[in-house]
Amino acid sequence: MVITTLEQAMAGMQPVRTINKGGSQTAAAGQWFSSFTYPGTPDAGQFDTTTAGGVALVQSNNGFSMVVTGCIPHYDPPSGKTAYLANFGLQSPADGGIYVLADRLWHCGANTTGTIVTTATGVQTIDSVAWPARDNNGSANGAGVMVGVEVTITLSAVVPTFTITYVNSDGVVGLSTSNLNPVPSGSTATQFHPFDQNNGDRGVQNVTTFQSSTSSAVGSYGLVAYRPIVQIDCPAGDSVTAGDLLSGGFPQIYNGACPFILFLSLTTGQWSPFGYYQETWG
Amino acid sequence: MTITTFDGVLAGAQKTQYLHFVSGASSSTNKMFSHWNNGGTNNLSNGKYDITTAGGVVLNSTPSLIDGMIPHFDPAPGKIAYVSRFAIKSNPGSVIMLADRLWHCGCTNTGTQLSVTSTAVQNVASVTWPPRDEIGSTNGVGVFIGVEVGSVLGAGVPVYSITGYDQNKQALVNAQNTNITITTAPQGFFMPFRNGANTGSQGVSNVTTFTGSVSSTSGMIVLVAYRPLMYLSPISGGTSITGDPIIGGFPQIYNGAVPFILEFTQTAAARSMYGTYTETQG
Repeated sequence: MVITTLEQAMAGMQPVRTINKGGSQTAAAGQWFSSFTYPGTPDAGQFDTTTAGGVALVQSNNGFSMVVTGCIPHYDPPSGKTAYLANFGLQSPADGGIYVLADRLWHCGANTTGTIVTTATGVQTIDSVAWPARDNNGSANGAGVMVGVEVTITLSAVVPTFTITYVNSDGVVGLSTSNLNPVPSGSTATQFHPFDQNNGDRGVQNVTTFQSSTSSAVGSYGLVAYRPIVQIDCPAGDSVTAGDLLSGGFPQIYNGACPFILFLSLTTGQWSPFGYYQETWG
Repeated sequence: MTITTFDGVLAGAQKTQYLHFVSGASSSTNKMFSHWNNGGTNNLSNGKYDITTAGGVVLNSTPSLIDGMIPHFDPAPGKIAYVSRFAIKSNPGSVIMLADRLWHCGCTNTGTQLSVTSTAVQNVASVTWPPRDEIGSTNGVGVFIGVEVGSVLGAGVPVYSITGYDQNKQALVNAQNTNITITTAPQGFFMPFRNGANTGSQGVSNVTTFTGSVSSTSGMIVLVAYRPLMYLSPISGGTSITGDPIIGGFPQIYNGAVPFILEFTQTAAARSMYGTYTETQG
């Protein structure tokens, strides 16, 4: 079934989920941040650094057990029903910014021979496993899927350029791209560096290799494949930003989804991931 | 019966409850506050704290309204209550949480007031929650625990910890307060616990012990079990977007519910609050 009326949406409302990632977090101007590893509600996610090919991320409804700590709880609806995002809101940081609610499909802290090496400047083979079938079309092809580098331990005072080779959602192999936003010196834990895509690409299906231009003597990072679900724009000051059925675009939430939050800060300051997430089923 | 149409919402509309909380102690930036003890209009007498009942007190409004709660009256047998409208004028930037207060407890399992100076483990041994978790059971699905300051604390910035079990009877792990304490925390200051990093922990079924890491010198605290029902997103100036059956998520209100308000503040300000609360039954 699909929901096609407001009354169906109202009738299918699910309990609201709390997002409380512990009050103030320090942001830097023009940088993206991931809430995945912050402690709080939901609790800190664990980044896998040992599984070659990375880990496809799937939450399941198994007696209210979820399998991906760090993601906003999502339970699959009963067979025959479809889940949608009904309400999503987060407190605006005082200086404004952008929140992106995204479905975390895959993460990978390992190359084919071990943990991704931050001191290496050579090509590291990734050969990602297949994404779960949660791209824009509910397939594993990668339409609408982006890839980023998530910093899990603060790096040295270096300014690397990250590069991946990848297969796009149309199956074109051997493509190459680098991070969209410049990586700042000493990129801190939880900073997130999305990759650009080539003209005509509609998403990433597979990551083949990863390379950093500069060695970082300390720190740790990994790769994340994610699909943006909704973006909400936060005005500076004293507002709370929210997306409801209409203003949020009513996106479908696929079975197994692992929602998490990315934040783009406009200035250096504090952000407080406190808010809510609610689905409706029908 | 359940309500599945807008006509049903209108047909079952109950009397609107006007809410006016007088100003409590000033809030702090990026902290949570409870309005349980902020007195005001319409039965909003200052909520009481129990510091003598071993195992704590189950809160149930079915026999009669309880001081501090937003008025709720159980529907006739066979009918179900929902929140159909909720609107609040609060402080700029605050996120408002409407929650069902299930239990509170200000003493140990021997009836001795919880010590705010001791750093030893204090046994709590909570009684069974009322059947008002997400699925109407006593298992604790979606139930959170917080520390509420009953009277202003002295100097000290403790980290609080609880032990207990989640809704699947797994022991809680790293269940510490998410939002940090402040020294001389005022009455109403509220510190929610994260539910712990256990895979599948989606609520708390009971509290076994409580510990503070350092002394708070003086004051009084209680533990509170609560379940979030609805969030409101104030826009500029603190005026909320009205929570109607769509934007508010149309939460079911179980018989015996004890609605109260938690506020996650963005700025330091006096905590007066105005609004209305309406249920529908069908």
